[in-house]
This record gives sequence, C-alpha cells and structure tokens, in this order.
Amino acid sequence: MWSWLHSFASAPIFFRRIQYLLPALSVLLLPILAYGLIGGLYLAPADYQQGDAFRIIYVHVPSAFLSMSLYMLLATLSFIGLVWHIKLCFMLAKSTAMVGAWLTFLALVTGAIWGKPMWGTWWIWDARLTSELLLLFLYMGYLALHNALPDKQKADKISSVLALIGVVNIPIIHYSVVWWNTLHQGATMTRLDRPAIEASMRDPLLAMIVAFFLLAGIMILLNTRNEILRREKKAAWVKQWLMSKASCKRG
Amino acid sequence: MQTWLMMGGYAPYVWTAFGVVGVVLIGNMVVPYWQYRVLLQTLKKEII
Repeated sequence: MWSWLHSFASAPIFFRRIQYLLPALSVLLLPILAYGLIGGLYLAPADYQQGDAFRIIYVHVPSAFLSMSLYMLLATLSFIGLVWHIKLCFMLAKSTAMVGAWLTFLALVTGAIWGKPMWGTWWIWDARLTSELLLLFLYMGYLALHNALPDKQKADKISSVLALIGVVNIPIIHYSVVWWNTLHQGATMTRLDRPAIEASMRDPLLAMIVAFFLLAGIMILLNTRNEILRREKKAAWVKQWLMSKASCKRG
Repeated sequence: MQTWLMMGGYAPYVWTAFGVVGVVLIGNMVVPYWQYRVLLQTLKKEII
C-alpha cells in the first residue's frame, strides 16, 4: 500500500505508468463517448420546451462539471505538493490548471451558445455566469503566475497558494443558483427530491460526464508527460529510458 | 438524416457548440502529443 502510494511521488515511475495509462484510458473512452454522443444527439427525444437546442446540455454540463472538479483536483494537488514537497504533484497541478482553464472556457462558450436562443442573450452578469468567469480568471492567474516566475520551485509554491485561496469560489459557483435569483436554471442531476430529467435524456448525459473525465485524464497525462521530460531532462533515468527506447527500435 | 441535421431549427447553435468543444478537446490532445514528439527528438539529439 505505502510503496504503491509512494510510487506517485516518483517522477520516473509515474512517467512509465503514463505510457500504459494513456492507451488504457483511450480504449475505455471510445465506447462511452460513442454512447453519449449517439444517445444525446440522436436517441434522446427533443425537449418539450427547448426543442433540440437542449442537446447542448450534453457538452455544456460535462464541461461545467469538469471545470469545477478539476479545480478541486488542482487545489488538492497544490496542497499535497506544498505539505509534502512532492515535485510530481506540482507538475500534475500545472497540467490540471491548463486543462481546467480550457474546460471552463468551453462551459462559458457552450453556455453562451445555449443562452442566445433560450434566454435571448449571449451573456448576462448573473451570479452563476460571473462566478464561472471568475473561475476562468483563477485558472489563468495560476498559469500566468507560474509562467512569470523563472524559478520553477518558487513558481510552484506561489501559484499553489493562489490555487488554494481560489477554492472559496467553488461553493459560490455551485450554490449560486440557490443563493441568488438567477437566469441560470437550477440543478438537474443532483436533486434529491425527484428527478428532473427523464432516463433516456439522463443516461447519455451521465455517459458524457464520464467521457469528459476520461478525456480530461488523458489531456492531463499528456501534458504531465511533457512537463516531466522538460524538468527532468538532465536526470539519469531519462537518459537510460531514451537509450533503451533507441536500442529497442534497433533490435 | 436531413431533419436530424436541422436540429428543429437550432442547427447553428447545436452544431457550433459541439464543434467548438470538439476542436478544443482534440486540440488539447494533439498539441501535447506533437510537443512530446518534438521533445523526444531534441532530447535524443542532446543525449545520444
């Protein structure tokens, strides 16, 4: 157990793990994504109020869900990195911030495209939309701060502190539709009293959320792999790995 | 097929949303993969 956990702190072991995690995640992703897309775009019936425009939900909700989940992951990695001084956590955190920023961007863009035909406007300064925009700025702030500091160890620490402070925004986003009277609709999936969505519409949405998690995982690992190589390029294990790779090809 | 593509008159919105998401997600996998290939090439030249 401990040695398994410890392997997550070691860049060379994690690097090798990435090499077989990537194909495994991709194989897992394809059928789930296919079901989500076919179910969402074709099999699910049109909404009785919104018609076919509701189908934007199948990319909007997963993007928004991931934008918040990835922020929690970023904060957790930052916390572990700061407390136990694990370099690998900081490398994972930076990749998570990059992917998280893109998913927040997607949540905002798909929301705007959905808002135009349904609300009659691309954008409104209401609580949900504004707090989600703030989330994008937090991600961008993290990345900008990290890039601005030439000393990477210092950059890791300072941007991690920013990531931890920004956690305050996550419950604000989540409860914004409850606390304030907003144009954005309330929760659909996490309601306890009664389901607000029919199964033929819900199941593809759940599949898309799982697919987005897998996609985010793949994107984070792809970026982390580069980050490890960039930071560890002088390490002996990188040289050994490259040599063995080259000899494998020759043999 | 034709009626499906029309999306009940919401085609521009639905397909733009899915299109933007597709481009961003695929880009976020292709670009780091491409960077990885370049990185491997330069590291090989430096080390071996």
